[in-house]
Amino acid sequence: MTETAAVRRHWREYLSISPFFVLFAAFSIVPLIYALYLSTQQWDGIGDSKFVGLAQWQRLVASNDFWYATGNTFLIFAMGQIPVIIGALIAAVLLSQPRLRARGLYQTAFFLPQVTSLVVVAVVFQAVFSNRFGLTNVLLQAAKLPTFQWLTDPWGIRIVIAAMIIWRGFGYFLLIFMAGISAIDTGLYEAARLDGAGPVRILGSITLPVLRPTVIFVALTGTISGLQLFTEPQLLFGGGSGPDRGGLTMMLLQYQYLGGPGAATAQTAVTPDLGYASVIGWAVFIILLAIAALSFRFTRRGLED
Amino acid sequence: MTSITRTGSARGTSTRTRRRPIRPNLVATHVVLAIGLVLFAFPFYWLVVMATSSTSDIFSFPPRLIPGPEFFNNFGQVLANTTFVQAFFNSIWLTALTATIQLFLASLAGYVFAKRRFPGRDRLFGLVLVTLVLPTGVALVPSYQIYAGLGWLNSFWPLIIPSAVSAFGVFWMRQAAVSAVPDEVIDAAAIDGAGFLRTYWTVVLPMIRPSLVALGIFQIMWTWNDYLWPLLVLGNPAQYTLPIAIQQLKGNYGNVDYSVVMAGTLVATLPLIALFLALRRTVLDNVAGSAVKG
Repeated sequence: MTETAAVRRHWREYLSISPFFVLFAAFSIVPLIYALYLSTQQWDGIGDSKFVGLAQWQRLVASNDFWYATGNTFLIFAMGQIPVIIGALIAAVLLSQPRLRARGLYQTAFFLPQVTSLVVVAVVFQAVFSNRFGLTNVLLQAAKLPTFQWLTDPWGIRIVIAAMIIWRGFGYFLLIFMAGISAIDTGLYEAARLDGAGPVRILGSITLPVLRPTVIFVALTGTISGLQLFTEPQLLFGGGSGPDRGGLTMMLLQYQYLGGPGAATAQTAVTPDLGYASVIGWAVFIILLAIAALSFRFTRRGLED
Repeated sequence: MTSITRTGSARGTSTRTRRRPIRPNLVATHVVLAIGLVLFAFPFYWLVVMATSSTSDIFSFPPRLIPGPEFFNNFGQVLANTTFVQAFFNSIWLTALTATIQLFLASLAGYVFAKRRFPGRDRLFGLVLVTLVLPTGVALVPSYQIYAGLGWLNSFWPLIIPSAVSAFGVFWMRQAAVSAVPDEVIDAAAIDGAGFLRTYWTVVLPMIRPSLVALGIFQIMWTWNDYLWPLLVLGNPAQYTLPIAIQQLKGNYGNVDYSVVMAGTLVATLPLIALFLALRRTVLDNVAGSAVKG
C-alpha cells in the first residue's frame, strides 16, 4: 500500500527513466526471446516457415561455416587488436613525457581516424591495397620487390582488415592509456627517481603495473564490439566473404543467411535461412556474453563511485 | 587537470636535466611519433590525392602522388548523382535528430538517477550498468522481423527509436550530474520553488554542458557513420544515408570512374572532421571517460 503511494508520488522520476527501460525491453530483450522461437524454424523469409525443432542448433554445432567464421573473426581481430594495444601503450608513454612539444597535434592526428566512417576507411584501404594499381604494390614494384595480391589472398585480406582496425582504433586506445598514465601519483615517480631508477625501470615497475587494469578492461570491452566485425569485409566483398572466405566473420555470416543486400550475388553465396541466422545470432550473443561477464568484473570496480 | 599539475611539478624538480640544451630522448621521441604521424595521416592524404585526380591519373604508372586539379570536375559528377546529394541531407537531419533526442532523454534520466531520491533507484541504475556491457543487438533477424511487423522497413524509424536513449548515454549523464551539480544547488532551487522540470532545465543542464557536448559528438559520430542497419532497412535510394550512398557510388562508378567515388567519400568525411577539429579539446578530454562504451 505504502509502496504504491511512494510510486505515485515519484511518478515524474519513473517517467523520466522509463524510456530507456521500455526501449531496452522492446528492442533488446524481446528480439532475443523472439530469436529463440525463430531458431526452431526453417524459413527463407519469403514462403512459409517450417518447424524443425533443434535441427538448426545441431546444424550450427556440426557446421563448418560458423566455426570457420568464429575462428576467422578471432584471428583477424587479434591481428588488429594486439598490435594496436602495444602500439598505443608505447605511444602513450612517449606522449606522456613532460616537456614534450606538439602533444595536442599528435593526439589530434592519431584520433582523427576514429571520427572517420568505416565505409570511408574501407574505400581508401581498398584503393591503397588494390592488386594492380594500389599504392602498396606500386611501391613494392618500384623497390623491385615481388608484389602481393592483397585482396585476393586470404591472408592478404586478413592483413588489410587488421590494418583498418589498427588505423581506426589507435587514437582511442592512446587517449585512454594517456588518461591512465596521467592519473598515476607523481610521488611514485619521484621516489623511484630518487632511488636511482632509470626510465625503463620506472616503466616496468610503475607505469605498466598501474596501467594493467586499464589495459585489461579496455581490451575486454573493445573485444565485445571488435568481434562484431562486419562493415570492413562486407564492403570489401560486397556482401560476400572474399576468396577462400578469408574475410568471413560471425556477423557477416549471419547477414548472409539473413539475405542482406549483396549477399546473394557473392561467389560464396548461401541460401537464406532466417532460422539458421537466428541461431548464429544467439551463438554470437553467448560468445560475447562470456567476454562481457569477464569484463564486468573490472567494470564494477570502475563504475561504482 | 592531473596532467597539468604533473608536468608542472616535474618541471620544478628536474632542474638538473633542464640545463642540457638538447635532450636526445626527446628528439628520438619526436622521430618515432612523427613516423607514426605520417603513417596515420597518409590515408587521408591519399584520399585527397585520389579525389583531386582523374581516374586515368590514379590508374597510371607511376601514379600521381600529389593532389591534382580535378576535384571540382569529380565533385560535379558526384552532385549530378541525386542519390548522393539527398543522402547528405538525410544524414544531416537524421544525425541532428538522434543526437537531440539522445541528449534530452539521457540527461533527464541521468539527472534523476544522480539527484532524485525514489524507491528502487539504485537497483534500477544497477540494471542500466548491466545492460551497458550486455552485447545485445547481435541478433539481426528478430530485430529485422520486429521492424517489419511494425511497418518500419523502408523508413527511418529503426534508426531513430531503438537507440533513442542508450545505457551509455544514461550512465554518462549520471556521472556528469554527480560530479558537476552539488546537492546544495538542487536544494536551493527547491527552496526557491523550482519544480522538477524547471530544476532540470535551468539548473542542471547548464552545469553539465561539457558532458552534453561530448555525448553529443559521440552520438553524432555513431549515427553519421552507422552502416549495418541503414543498409538493411533503407531500401529506397531517396532514403539512403551517406555510408550507404558511398557504397552505392562505389558499386556504380567503382569500375568506371574511381575518382568520383573518392570525391564523394572525401566530401562525406569532411563535416565530421571539421566538427571534431572545432571541438577537439572537449572530445579528447572526454574520451577516457567513454572507455566503458567499448
